[in-house]
Amino acid sequence: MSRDHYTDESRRPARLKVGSAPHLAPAISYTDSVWTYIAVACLPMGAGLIVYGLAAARVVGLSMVAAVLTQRLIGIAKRQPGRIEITHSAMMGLLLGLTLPAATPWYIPVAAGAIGVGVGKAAFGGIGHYFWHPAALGRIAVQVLFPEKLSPGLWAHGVNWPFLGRGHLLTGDLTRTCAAEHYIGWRETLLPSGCEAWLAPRPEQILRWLADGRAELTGGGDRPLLAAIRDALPPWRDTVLGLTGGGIGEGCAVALLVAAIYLIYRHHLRWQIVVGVLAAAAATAAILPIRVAPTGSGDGSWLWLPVLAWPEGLPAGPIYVLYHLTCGDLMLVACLLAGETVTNPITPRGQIIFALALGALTVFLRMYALPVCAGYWALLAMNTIVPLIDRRTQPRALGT
Amino acid sequence: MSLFRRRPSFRGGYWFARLRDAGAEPIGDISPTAPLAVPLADRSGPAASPVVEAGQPVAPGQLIAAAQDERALPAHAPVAGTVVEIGRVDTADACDSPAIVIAPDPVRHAEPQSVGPPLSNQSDLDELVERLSAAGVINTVDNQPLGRQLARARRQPIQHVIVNSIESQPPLAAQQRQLAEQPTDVLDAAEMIRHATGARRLWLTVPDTGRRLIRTLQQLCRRHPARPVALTPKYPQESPVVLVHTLLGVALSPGRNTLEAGVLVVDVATVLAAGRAVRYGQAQTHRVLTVGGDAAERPGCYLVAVGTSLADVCEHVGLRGPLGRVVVGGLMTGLAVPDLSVVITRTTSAVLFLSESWHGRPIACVRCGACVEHCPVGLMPASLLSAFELDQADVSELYPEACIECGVCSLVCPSHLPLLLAAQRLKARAGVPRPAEATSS
Repeated sequence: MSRDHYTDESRRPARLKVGSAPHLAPAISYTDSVWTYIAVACLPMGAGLIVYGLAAARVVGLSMVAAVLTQRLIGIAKRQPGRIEITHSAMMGLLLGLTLPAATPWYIPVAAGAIGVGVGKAAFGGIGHYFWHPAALGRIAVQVLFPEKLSPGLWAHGVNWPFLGRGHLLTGDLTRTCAAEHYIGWRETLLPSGCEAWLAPRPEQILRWLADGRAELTGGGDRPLLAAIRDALPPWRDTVLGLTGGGIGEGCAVALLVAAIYLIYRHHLRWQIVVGVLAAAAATAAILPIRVAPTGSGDGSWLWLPVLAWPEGLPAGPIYVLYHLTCGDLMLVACLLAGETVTNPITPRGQIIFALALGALTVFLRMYALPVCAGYWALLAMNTIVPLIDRRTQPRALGT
Repeated sequence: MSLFRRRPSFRGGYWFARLRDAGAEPIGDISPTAPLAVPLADRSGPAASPVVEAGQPVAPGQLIAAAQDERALPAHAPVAGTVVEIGRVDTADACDSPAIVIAPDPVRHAEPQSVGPPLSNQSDLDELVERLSAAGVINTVDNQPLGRQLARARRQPIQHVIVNSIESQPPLAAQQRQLAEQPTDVLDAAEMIRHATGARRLWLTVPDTGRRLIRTLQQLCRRHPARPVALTPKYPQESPVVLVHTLLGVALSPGRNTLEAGVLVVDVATVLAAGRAVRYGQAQTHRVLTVGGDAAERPGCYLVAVGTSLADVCEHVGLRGPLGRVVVGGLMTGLAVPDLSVVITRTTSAVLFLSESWHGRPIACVRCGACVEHCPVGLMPASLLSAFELDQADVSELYPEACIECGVCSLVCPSHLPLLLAAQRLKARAGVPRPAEATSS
């Protein structure tokens, strides 16, 4: 009687669905995370579009199309349709585009996108399985394959990078360039007629001259720092706003920081990673020595702790450290690339160690080893030792 | 009272937005109209054997099934009525378990029966153990008979008794509600247990969000040995392992229970049941449930007779719309049931009527570390999952037996991976008994 009573169909509203606990939708989803990354990456993308013109859109578009097509082809070959894989590849294509300079031939973003997604991601098995950041891997691959296109004359100290001048933002032509002879700042200097873009050394390059001991920057005591800040480097404001030569998304520190803050607010990025990378980079730049005498001039040619330099009442040391933070690829790596979860350590403690080492390594490579792509090389190097960090930072279970 | 200013907490866990509505109203009453199917077995032990026959009238509190084994608990009739049959019924955690079906008879007057004469609050341990076993009092913190747990105190002394009223998983509120309605009864019964076990300390943990409740308890405890402690209701604060660690700083080694460390953790409902059993000889035949979920029209705390089916509870509280999923227990650790013929047992904590049934589509682990960061006992759930998937033989370094099955890892996973299930399977493979919350149906 009882079972009839309870199993009577009229008393049972509908067949209920069952499932395992917890019975709540998760607070966060990876699809959301990928879309948020795409949305916020549009900020530095927009800044790049303004400073480098429509050529920037072409480069980013090509790298995204190459990344998505590669993913689609591999998906068809593996008979594994996956919308999230496609979205994720589009995100990687976008991030990859941000790392490339705008003035490049069409095949460079295409090759970078195809290698980044094909070799860097899909060959390992897609989301969750790759070791190296696909965007950084694609960038480094084209840097190695086409060095003359991405940094011509680099080792001869002659490399200059184009960016649009006053009155030509967004619509200017990056190929109509003028070399800057008396360049004192983007807003303060007038372009010669017939030119639409400046051709100037990247500020990161000038910072490296300090470590190289370039002739015009050397002298006794604090002199090189002063010379670099007064004569060689663009105003700090220009490096913060991204009005310098470089990768499309690398320049504008403001846009990158806003993007990172939004990601942190939405819980798609840990603040410890951004702060860790930047803090370690600042500390490293503050400590590591610069050359104050020409190469080979013997003892006393290195100035350690350049942060303490304070010549002629000008806080040159602290300014030098700030330049390190806002120049080059460091900010892009800290805000958008280092937080990539798959290539990060899994333990929160490990992620902090990862971020600190990444920031320090970036500045070290930039000063003494690799004049371009130091941040991406550092990221790949740190990705490589992630299993090691994971093993060393396993949390202690309660009561063990 | 300075203890109120200390807010000890623990690492990891999860903050739920406050869901206060379930505990705001006084406890309601669901008087049975349809036949009750009183289950004869609880999860922890074998079934009791019936001592009544079909057609026999029973009085409220009358013994209907006696425990043959010391691990079993007797069953009592919740209401006056007639035994219809000795059949079988489904509970949330056991299918087809033996039950006695009683048709309630509200017209017939029957004197309530007690399991024994009233005892004093100063009873000794033997009296208390005997009475609690006879009244079928079960400790819903870990679903063990309370009498047996106290009997252990003869071999291994109990140092601390913790009475917990914190329920941090949504939308549970019954414990706090019962404490708010009967604070003196809770304190007296708790002191009775402390006295019998000879424990040094009696703690009363309350969520630090209930300011009025805290003030009331502060006043009541001026002349009482109980020490109230306000703790942050971060989930899973109420898990015995976490509670003992937060409150006493005792880190239990993986797989050990609190009694082995000399700590008895009970909740408010258990203490009240023990108090009634001693003072009035009342058997445990009812349970205060949190009834909630977005499909329930009148959510709240209700006093429900053991053996009431979910269909009757549903009829009483009403529905707002179609049902998607029905959960017995909290949202984090409850069990979804396939239909409404399931009955309430002595260990049921809540019934939730949900309009939607959520199913995640898992993708590969993206190694974000959210599970590691939120795990309250310091495990690496993602590694447990991969160990389970790869059928790894040696998982001792991952300590699956330390898992308290709170489910926070599954909740925070952006890849929607069944991390909790993997940990449960690994534990089962290692032969570790499951903790109460995951089974407190």
